[in-house]
Amino acid sequence: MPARPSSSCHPPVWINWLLKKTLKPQDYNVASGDLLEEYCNLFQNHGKLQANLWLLKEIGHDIPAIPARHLYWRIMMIKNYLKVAFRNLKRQKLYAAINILGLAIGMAGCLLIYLWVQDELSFDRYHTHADSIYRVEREMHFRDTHGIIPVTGGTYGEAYQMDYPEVEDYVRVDDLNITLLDHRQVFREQAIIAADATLLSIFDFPLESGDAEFALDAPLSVVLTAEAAERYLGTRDALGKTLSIQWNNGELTDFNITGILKPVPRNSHFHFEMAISIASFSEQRLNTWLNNFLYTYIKLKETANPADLEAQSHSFVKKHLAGPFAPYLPEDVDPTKICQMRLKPITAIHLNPSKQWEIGNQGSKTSVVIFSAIAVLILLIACINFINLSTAKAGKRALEVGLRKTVGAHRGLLLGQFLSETVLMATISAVIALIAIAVTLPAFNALSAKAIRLSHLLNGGNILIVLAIICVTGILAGLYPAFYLSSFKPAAVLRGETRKGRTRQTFRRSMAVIQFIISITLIVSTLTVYRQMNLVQNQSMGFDKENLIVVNTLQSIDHSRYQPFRNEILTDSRCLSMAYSSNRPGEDSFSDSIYRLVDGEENHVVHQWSIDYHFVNTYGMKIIAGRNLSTAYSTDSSAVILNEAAAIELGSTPEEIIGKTLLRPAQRDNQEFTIVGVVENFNYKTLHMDIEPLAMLSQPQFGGEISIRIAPGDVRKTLEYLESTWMHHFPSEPFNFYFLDEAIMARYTQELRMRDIFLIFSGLSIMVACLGLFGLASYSAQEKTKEIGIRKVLGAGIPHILGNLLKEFTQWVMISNIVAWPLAWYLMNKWLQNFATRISLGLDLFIIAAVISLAIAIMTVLGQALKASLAQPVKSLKYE
Amino acid sequence: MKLLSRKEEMLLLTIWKLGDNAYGVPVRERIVETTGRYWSIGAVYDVLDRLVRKGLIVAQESSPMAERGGKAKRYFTITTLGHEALEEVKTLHAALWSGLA
Repeated sequence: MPARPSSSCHPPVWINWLLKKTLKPQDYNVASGDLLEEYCNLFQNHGKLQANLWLLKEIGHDIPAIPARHLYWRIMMIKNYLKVAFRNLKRQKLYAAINILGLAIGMAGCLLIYLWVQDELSFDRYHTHADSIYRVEREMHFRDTHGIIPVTGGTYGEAYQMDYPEVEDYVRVDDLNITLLDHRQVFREQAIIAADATLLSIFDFPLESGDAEFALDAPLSVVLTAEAAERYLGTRDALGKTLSIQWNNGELTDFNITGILKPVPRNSHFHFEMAISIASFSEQRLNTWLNNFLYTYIKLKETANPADLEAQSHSFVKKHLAGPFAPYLPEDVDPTKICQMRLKPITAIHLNPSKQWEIGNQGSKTSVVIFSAIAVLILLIACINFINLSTAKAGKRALEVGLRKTVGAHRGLLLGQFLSETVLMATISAVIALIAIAVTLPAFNALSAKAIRLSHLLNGGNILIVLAIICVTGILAGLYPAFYLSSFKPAAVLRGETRKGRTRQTFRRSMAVIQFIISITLIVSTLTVYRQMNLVQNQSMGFDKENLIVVNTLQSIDHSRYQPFRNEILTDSRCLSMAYSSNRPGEDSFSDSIYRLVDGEENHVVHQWSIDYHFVNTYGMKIIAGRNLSTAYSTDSSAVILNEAAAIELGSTPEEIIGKTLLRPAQRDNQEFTIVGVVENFNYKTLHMDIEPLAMLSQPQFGGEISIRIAPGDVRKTLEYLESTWMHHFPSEPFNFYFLDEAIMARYTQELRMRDIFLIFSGLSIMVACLGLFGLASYSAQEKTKEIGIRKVLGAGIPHILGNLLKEFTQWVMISNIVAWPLAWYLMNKWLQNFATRISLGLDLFIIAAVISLAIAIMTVLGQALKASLAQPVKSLKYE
Repeated sequence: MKLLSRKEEMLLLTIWKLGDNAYGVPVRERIVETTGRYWSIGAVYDVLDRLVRKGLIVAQESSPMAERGGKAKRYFTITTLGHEALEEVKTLHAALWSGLA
């Protein structure tokens, strides 16, 4: 078929450009010729329009194939990358294992901490109105003392609602223990809360059944969870039934069950299974500004600003508190100066709890910050490992890079290749990490007292976090090695030269040093936390806390029955002594009052306890001046024993104050107490706080706690004996006992937990750092094979070579130590500020950390170094 | 060897029939004519490429031609291997059809 060329036939210019771009050069000529011919045929037979339409149709048909093909080759390349990556992993099993294991440990640690932190931060966020609920607190500045008091009297809530239109509603919550009679006629003790009806509307505590609006309205109403109902009434369907509770002076009173409560979420800052209406309390208990025993929460309108309310603290104090406070304050003290009203967002309570009188055990912001930092650091150490090992092994990949470059791979492609390799490794690590988390989660939960499930990690935003961690770790760890590897010059590499630059050595060294700085800081921190907690556990408390059993009686017990009980108990040789008191050391509830020496001028705030004659002896407190209370003195019914701090607070010394008379000016009875003794200061709060002045009044009738010192030995038997005797004398009181030392330690749960978590994660990070060091050591030994060979040939002994190899690593560790010390000192000094009684950060701590780090480093490196120095020189030199 | 695909078979036959004049444009014209369907340029050239790679046809470029704006034509001829492949498909067809209709 003859072509019919025509000079008038010109396809659009861009079509040639397009063909040139998309076709191989050798095809372009022929294809564009064919196209031109067909175009011209159409042009001459059907006109320009038809020809152009045809062209467009052809383009529309074939253009999509181009990106599709491109993609196809891309995938082929990635398949090739993966294949090469797997081959590399297989060829260098040790390095692959170190790399992946290190990353996996890092990721697992990081993710575990992430879950923990997320859980800590989630407290109280589930309430619909979480952002507009505040707790009313008072900030007190009195003389040198300063403190936040989260508890209030029953009147605050209503005052807030009346005074400020921004306050929509309030709820009062009191946590207390009650004794109830269950369906088997057994007395049981149970922690409950008493609250206003608004508890169920302000907070998100839904009812399974019952009317939430009125459930806690009437006096003697109770709502409880189905579990509690089953426990005490034998049925989950308890709505409308009654529950027998010891109320008002221990009389059994029927409470109406007006609602079945859904379980309170774990991440609530206070927990309860049962709530009774606060109206069940007597009017005078609630209607006072002075008896501060409950928590007041207010709900603000959406638009209200809590700072505006706090700003009006002055007028609030003046209006409501000045009057009731006046009798208790020295005349020259202005209540509005010492007391400020504060509003704490409920979402802040868990992480910023009050030091005293807090509702339940809360968390701490410091822990969250510290653990978040550890999470990041662990991951960082793992990444550094990866970077170091990859660059160290770069020589092995040099030939591959050279070859790829020779056959046309440009730098971008190589970057892509190495990054996809590290992302692959990060993915493998992540899978291992997830498995590790799944395995260790129950143990971690037990340790941290959480109920975290693996599914938390895989839902919603968290799966994105996991993916992000994989990508970021992969890219972060891969970026430097990728740049480094892809920079090889093919000619040089293929000729057999690998680069041995000083810069690369320096880079790797500084990376290793950073790892060790982190590890050493963690070692020092762990040691400090351990020492401090040891101090807390073993600190001489000023009394003997071992072998002391405390029986908690909820109501004041009947003295006519206590005395026979005491007599019978003490006939047994296992029970050494017994005391009755209103308080015990390590407890959180106090009352304080204004005291004055009769011949003194100034009023002083002093804590007060009521004790009997046996208290000081039973607790083994040390009397430093005067004498103990004794039945031998008839006047001792109005005597008092002070602690050392109180003697000093009252402006005297322990010796001089004996015999003086103490007076409570504020109270109407104007009762006077003769100071008969002063005991050595003992820790009756936690070691977070200083020891404050305390007066122990001889008032055996006011009590609540029975302390029994028992002989060491078979404690179980003794307890059985105690319980049976108790049941005999007090049949309607449950025998609630605890060991004093355990109860005191329970106050440090948070710190002890933190100590354990700290230990584990710093252990993990040190392990990861060691993995890296091990890898580097084996590489370094390998690289120096020839050097070692030559040295040996020239007569160097094994110790010499060994020393030479170890010197390099010990140097790094020493440098790390020097940098890490001030860092650790600064951090731990801050943490220790939480304790009033604290250890000093001695030099020995740092030296121990240095020795530990050095020992670990040397142990890690020694094997490799030994192997290298024992090698036969003939083997390493035979190729020269 | 793998059997020819239907497209490959059709194009091979077309080239065979066209004899000396088998280059891109007539190949496409003829196959559109015979099948009565639309064949895009890509559909034809892609298969031609594949046939060359498999060694069933050989391509030979003419000298540049003025009437084509100085571009060469690429002529295709069937190789022995191509003939064998066609034979194989034909026998297979016959075997498959035998005994029917």
